[in-house]
Amino acid sequence: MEETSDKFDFAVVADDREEVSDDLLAVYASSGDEAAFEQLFERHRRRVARIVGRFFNHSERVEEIVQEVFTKVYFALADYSSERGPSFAAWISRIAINSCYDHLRRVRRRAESSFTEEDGDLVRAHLRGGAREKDMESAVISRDLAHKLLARLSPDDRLILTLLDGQEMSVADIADMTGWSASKVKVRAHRARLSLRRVLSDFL
Amino acid sequence: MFRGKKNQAQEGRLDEVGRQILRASAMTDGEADEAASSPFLLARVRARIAAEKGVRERAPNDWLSIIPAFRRAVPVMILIALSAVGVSWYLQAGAPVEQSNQSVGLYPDPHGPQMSVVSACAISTKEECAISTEEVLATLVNQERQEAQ
Repeated sequence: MEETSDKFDFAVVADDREEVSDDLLAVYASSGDEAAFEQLFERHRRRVARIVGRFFNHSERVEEIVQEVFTKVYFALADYSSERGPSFAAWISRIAINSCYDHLRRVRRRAESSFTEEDGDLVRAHLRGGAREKDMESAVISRDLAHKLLARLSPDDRLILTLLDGQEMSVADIADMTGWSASKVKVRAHRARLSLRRVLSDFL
Repeated sequence: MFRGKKNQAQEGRLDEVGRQILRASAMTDGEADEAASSPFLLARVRARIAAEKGVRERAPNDWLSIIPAFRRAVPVMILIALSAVGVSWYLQAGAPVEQSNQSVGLYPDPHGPQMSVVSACAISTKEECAISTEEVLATLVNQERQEAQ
């Protein structure tokens, strides 16, 4: 009974749901309040899916990683404190990026073997500036090809390039997310660009 | 100089295509939102959480399951230790008496203290223990003479 009285009553404050801070919801969710956790899930699922979608383009995989992220969030809620660290949004983004990084390491180079001669011709056409995505079909091919090319990079290189160019994050933000120093982020970004140039120059 | 500019232009082109590839590989925000709006996503998250809870709850039980095994292992280990002591005692009892007297020093021996000093000095680096080989030989000869008398 006492546990029930400690729970956050959303029925009472239904109109003010948006007013309740993430931090407060996190406190209630960490004490086992399912409604508070559901509210956090509703607020942040799109954010998490968009981050994961920068790294992976199959919706099944994106869903799987989103599930994994929220499971991690659930068990890490007790350790979360906005006073000691980042905001809840930044914290959950960090968990999402780390989960993507783990998946990148697991699936590394799996797609490399399926690289065809046709793919090579397409890359060469792109490098010459001749290819344009005019219709949906060519866009899909381009995405598939992009994944095959990126699979040739190390997970570290892919992570940093996706955050810089895909997610358009600043060096300071990436340093904050990954826990690396700003100079390390810059060095890694430089190396990652060189690696990508090397991958692409194989087609020249 | 011209070559350097050409290289720069080529690198710029490679970087540009690289950025295009990164953008092409990513889902659009709309697609990501669609993936996040899957009707059973929260239900699946809850199922995963429940499964993970189950694993975490079983983990301490697994640790506790070591205790009965440990309880069975202790008497066996005691038996092994006792039999090892018994065997070593039996072997010591079967050894020559003279050797055991010298090594253990259970019985009074007129040369006992000297022997122990020599043994102690063998592992000591102190100056007073620095006995030369001649001195050791002389002591042994004296002992033999005394025994002969």
